[in-house]
Amino acid sequence: MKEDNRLAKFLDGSLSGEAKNEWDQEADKELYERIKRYSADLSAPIHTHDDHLLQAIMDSKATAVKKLPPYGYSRWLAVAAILLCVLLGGWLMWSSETVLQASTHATLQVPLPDGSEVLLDNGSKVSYKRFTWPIQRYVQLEGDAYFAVEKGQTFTVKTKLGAVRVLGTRFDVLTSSGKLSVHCYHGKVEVQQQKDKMLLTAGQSLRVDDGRWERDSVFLLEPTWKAGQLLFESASLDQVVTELERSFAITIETTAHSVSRTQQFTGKLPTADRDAAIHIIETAFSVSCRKLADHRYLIESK
Amino acid sequence: MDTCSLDDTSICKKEIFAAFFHKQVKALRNFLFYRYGNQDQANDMAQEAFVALWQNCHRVPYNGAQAYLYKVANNKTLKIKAHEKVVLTYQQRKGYNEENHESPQFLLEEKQFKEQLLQAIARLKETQRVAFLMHRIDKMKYAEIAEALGISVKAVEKRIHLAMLALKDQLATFK
Repeated sequence: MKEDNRLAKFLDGSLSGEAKNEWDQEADKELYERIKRYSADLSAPIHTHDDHLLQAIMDSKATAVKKLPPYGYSRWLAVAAILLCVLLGGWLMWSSETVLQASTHATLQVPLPDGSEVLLDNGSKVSYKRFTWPIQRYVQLEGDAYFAVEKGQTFTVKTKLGAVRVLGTRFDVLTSSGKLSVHCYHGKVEVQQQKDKMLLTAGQSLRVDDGRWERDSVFLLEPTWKAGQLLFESASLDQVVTELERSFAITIETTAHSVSRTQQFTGKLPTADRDAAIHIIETAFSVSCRKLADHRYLIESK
Repeated sequence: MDTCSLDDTSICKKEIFAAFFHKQVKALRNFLFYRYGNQDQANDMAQEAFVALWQNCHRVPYNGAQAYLYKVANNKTLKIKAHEKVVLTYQQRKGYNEENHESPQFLLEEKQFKEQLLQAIARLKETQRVAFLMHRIDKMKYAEIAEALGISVKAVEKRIHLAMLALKDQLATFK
């Protein structure tokens, strides 16, 4: 069927040729022409100030542009800046260390985040990372310290001379003499120097001196420097003498070897009073002690 | 490619936009009025369409500006439900004084015809009325109407044809 748009053609005056002849035969031709004529006079009753409207439209751009978010490279710059801040902040938190050092005249008690405690000897230093503490209990030590460790994950004390790993125990680590010395008072600890390891149980001590590992028993209940007194339990004369030498920084020679093999001492010696301590030893082992020079003593059998 | 560069025919240029605005604003506003019969709404929606064009001018080529304008206007009108009767008026024909010499009977008959024509137009189907009035009032060519409405010229002619048929039927008493 042929499309019938003749009224549209008529309305815009584009009828031509044959169609125009047909149009002349149209029955309603006059009415259509009347509609065409009058509809041409129609108007829509809208009157506004178009110039004002145009101005308002053009002004809208200024405000609209401000609302646009910053795209392009500046957005990536912002993303990069935020990323950098997060990484930097994270790195700072991750690497931030808590460092505590005891003064040269006093010990310092340091609480750790999980409730474990460190007692630092004079002039010793301990550092740990608070941020990573829940993941890794790791302490760096310079000097001497006594540790009371809460049960939990492996607790590591790292020194220049080696590492000590524990689960939950009380022990001390001495490095100030240039030798690694560990006393385990409770629980178990593992001592590592380079590739060598040794497990210590309660009442055992270890001295690592130039690659030589010397295991011994602990004859003190607590570290000597901790309580201001030396606590001995079933200690031989030799062991007591060694501890006195260390505490008072003196040299003691002994000829009473038989006494050392047969007698044992359990008790306290004051670390503040050298003469009182020596007097107690004389009485307990029934020996006599002579002062040879400053810081030099000789113990003989009676 | 820099989409913001202003070539000679860019709609972003103030003078070009202003000229385009003056050329199109009345027809656009009327188009909206033909559809919904509310002058204020037609005004507001026309303004919104031009604002959208102005703000996106760098993305719209000059040739596509008119189609863009009507597309925006059409999208906006989708949300409007209220539909009022389209009220039109007749312009005073200049230099046409014959009526003054006509008989009172003729003048009365003419007045009645004009009123009937207005009512018949108001009763047309919307698509037919819009196309018909864009041609009769805004003097747009069929091709221009087709472009504005996003339809083919044939479809415009069909709508006009059907509009004429409907008007003739309604005005049959004036045969």
